[in-house]
Amino acid sequence: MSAIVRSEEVRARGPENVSAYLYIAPALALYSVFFLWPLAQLIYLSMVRWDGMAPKVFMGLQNYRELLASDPRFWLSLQHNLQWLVGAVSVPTGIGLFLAVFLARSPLYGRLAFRTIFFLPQVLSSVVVAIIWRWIYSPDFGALNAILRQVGLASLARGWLGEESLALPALFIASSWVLYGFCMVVFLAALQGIDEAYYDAAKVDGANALQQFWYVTLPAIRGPLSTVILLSAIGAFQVFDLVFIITRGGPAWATMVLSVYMYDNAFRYNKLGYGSAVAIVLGVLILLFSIVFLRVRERLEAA
Amino acid sequence: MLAGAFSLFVLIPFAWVIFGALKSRVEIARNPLGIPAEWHWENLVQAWVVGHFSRYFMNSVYVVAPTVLMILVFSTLAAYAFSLMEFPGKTVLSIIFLFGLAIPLDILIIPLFYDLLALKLLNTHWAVILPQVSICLPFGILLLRSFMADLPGEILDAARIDGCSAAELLYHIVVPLCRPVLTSLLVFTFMWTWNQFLLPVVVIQIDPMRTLPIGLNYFQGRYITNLPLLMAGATISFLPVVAIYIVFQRQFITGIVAGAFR
Amino acid sequence: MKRGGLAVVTLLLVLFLPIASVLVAGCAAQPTPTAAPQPTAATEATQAPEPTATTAPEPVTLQVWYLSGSPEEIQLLEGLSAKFGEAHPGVKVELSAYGYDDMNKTLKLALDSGTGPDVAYCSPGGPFHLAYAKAGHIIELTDIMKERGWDQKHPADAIAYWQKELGGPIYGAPYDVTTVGVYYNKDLFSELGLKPPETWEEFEKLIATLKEKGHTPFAAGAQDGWPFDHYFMALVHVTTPANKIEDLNYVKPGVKFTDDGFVQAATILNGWVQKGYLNENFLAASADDQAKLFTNGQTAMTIAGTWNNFTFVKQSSFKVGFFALPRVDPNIEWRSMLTPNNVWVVSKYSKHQDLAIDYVDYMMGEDVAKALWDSGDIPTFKFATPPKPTSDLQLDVYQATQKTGVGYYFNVNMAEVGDIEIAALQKMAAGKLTPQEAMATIEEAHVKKLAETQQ
Repeated sequence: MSAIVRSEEVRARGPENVSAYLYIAPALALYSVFFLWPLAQLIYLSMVRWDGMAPKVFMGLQNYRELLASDPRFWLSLQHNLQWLVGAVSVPTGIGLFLAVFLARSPLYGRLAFRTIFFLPQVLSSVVVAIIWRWIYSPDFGALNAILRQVGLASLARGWLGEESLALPALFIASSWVLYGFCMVVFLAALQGIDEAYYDAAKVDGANALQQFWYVTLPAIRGPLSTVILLSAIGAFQVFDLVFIITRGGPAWATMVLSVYMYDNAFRYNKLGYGSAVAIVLGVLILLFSIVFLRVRERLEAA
Repeated sequence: MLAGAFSLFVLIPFAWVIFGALKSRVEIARNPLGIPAEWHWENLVQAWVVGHFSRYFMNSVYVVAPTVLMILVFSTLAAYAFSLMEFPGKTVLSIIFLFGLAIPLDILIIPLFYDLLALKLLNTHWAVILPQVSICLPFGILLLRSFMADLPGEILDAARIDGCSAAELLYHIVVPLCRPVLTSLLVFTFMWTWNQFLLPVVVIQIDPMRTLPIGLNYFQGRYITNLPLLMAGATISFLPVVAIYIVFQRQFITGIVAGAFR
Repeated sequence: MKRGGLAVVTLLLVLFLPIASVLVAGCAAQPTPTAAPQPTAATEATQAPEPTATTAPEPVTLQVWYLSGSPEEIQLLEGLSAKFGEAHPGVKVELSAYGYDDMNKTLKLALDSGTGPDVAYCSPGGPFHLAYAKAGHIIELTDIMKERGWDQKHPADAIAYWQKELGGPIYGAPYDVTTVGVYYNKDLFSELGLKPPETWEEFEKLIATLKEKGHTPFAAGAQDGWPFDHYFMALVHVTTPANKIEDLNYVKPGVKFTDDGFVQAATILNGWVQKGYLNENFLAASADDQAKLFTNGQTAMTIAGTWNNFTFVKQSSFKVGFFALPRVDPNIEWRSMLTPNNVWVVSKYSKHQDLAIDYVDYMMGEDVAKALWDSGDIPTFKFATPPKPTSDLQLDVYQATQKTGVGYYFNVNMAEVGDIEIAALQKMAAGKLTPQEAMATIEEAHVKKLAETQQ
């Protein structure tokens, strides 16, 4: 007798259940030890004061109180993460979509070549990306200012990573350099699945290009679009590598983000309890965002 | 035209880095953008030798291979149970696994460090493999179980009627049908693990065990004053991956796309 | 289904409780690092008996971690380590170099986990080698120092400097000193008829002259933060009485960042920024950019630490000179940020402790001191006869170390305050804060830190 049932036939049988648990066991074991348990520990750690050596001192919700009520750097970091959401996710996603729409109409051979090229930055490690862009932005020896000076726009050459208002946008560009390819590739594939017939029908009804986009294109790629947005948004909340390697959160906290703030507190200031509180807040934010996003998506799909 | 301009935006930084790797220190300061006047190929050799890149590359391989294997196997097993079996606690367990999707590994780095310390796993490949597998499992399980649940019922029923056990069904029928999604999972996991930064940075402190991104970061910290050498190191780091990507790009891209369509 | 769910959770807890308890035990006990086995892969380390002349010794690899950002210095150390290997048959020294941030993070984590090198040349002071000592990771060197005569060969107060707060025990031994002062382009100076200033007024006139003649006076790498902080701290040493700086360094109450000396230093620095005395885009330049700008001759001077000697001696196409910052307040003792550099420590987890101590002893010896001297460094070693300077630059630096008294990196013991200090200075330089406001910001964090340490 097989333990396999189809969902229409719900049968909870005693002995066969053991095999189900056996199938789940390896995954569950690893997941519990290296994810669930540390998560529980993290929650506990966020409520103590600990420098890594002396005994832990239980403090209840003191860390959270301090974090939320009297830590401007926390709120500044959060703000930057939200700005990252806009500047390094929404904008590139929009541009990627735009490009994909254009490219979907072009001949197959060119499309494949472009697709390969655009996707290339995705396979690089963040360290390589960081090295490349840090050098590009270097004020005296880097590529960007060198170009500006050569084309006679020397007045535009500036210290990109040194000005508070420019550093974060500079990081957005570096980050989206990597993201464009991902968006474009996914959207292209989705767009190719749309039947020309729909476009023809829309044209017959008198729809212009924009209306065709809104009524035919967008609904058809809703699934992949929302997945890309969700994944990139989670990425925007947990961004670490680029900030850590290129600006370290500077200048003067202008590019500080939550994950780097957590790292600094835990590993540089020896405030492991406080750092854990930051981590928990970050985790909760991501969780909430995902839940809200998925709910909204469900509602829209039901409509 | 538009796409062409954009391609330039993507490719030019690569060109700069490769050219930079082949210049002398003097030239890269004078002429950061152009083609090198003299081609200093020895920079690449020097970076490889001095930078221990063969060691870092192999460490990355030793980490990524078991990780990908474990994720594929364990996800398939668990997804099989979730999608095609009924058992008490299925809902509860599903939700427990979903946590892993929303919560990134990065925030758990503090307790993970001390756990791995207690388990005496620090500075071993397992310190990177095991947490990485754990964090990727929810994604793998989700991906596979929705695919498996959509499998045509007739095939499964036919096999059952033929007297297939659950295990045989999995091995002979379900897994082959899941090939596209498994490829997708393989690609995702490979890329995530290969480029992992925060985890190895914290749990590996000794040079012989460093993975490629960490090794490159350490190399960057040491040779920041020698720009061509640094560029050479970066070039060595990305060339193999780029080569693999170009050869297998169809699989890469199909994999990513299939994943996004869930 | 609900009851089934509960059953599952119970089942899970029962199954994984044993694993959990192991972890709890591991975490509740302080990370008690036991002598973890040497890492696999590249090292060929085996238990080796002390190499004697008669027995053929087993091959041993000594792991040494060295803190330096200078490729020239690292090369020198690799050569010296090779020499040590030659003198000890069967011994190979594997030297790994680390930058400042990397060393501090990596060494701490490594020692915490009971691994790491046999010997490290690491950052000194409260949050660094003294913290490792407190956690029991490194061995005490006091008796060894006396046995091997280090306190005869080196000035006792130099050795004691970085562990003064312990009141006697020595855990880390330095072997050279550095200070922070003004490197200048000698060729440019003689071209313009300028010479190193003796007073502050002369210095200000000199800077103004350089600017008038179309030269950028200073290079700073403010993007990395600390190079700019060094400008500030160096100025504090010539505006503020030494005892105040010392109290601040040891986190003692009674000193405020809003006191006159500090505000004056910030105002001077701010004035330089406003008058355009620093390289354009200095806020986006890295420490490395700063060094390059100076050695390329694009700025006339740079205020930097003398650990740059190794590099500046080799990399500049012009003659480089050095002078200590003249006093702004002529009534205070003449100080600069003169301190012993980093310290040699021996790990408790080393499997070759005797050999490790021999290595440090070799580093504290005359041969190494001579080699350091020859490459432009200032060792702490007390030579019987003072060696001849190998370059004018070294002579300049040496004289500066003789003329000025000891100084302090006064935010080293207050990591978070240091970050806030850097951020405040960056904001001031961008015109967002006045010097007074910047100092007030730092003082706010300082007060918090003081309160914490009183608890």
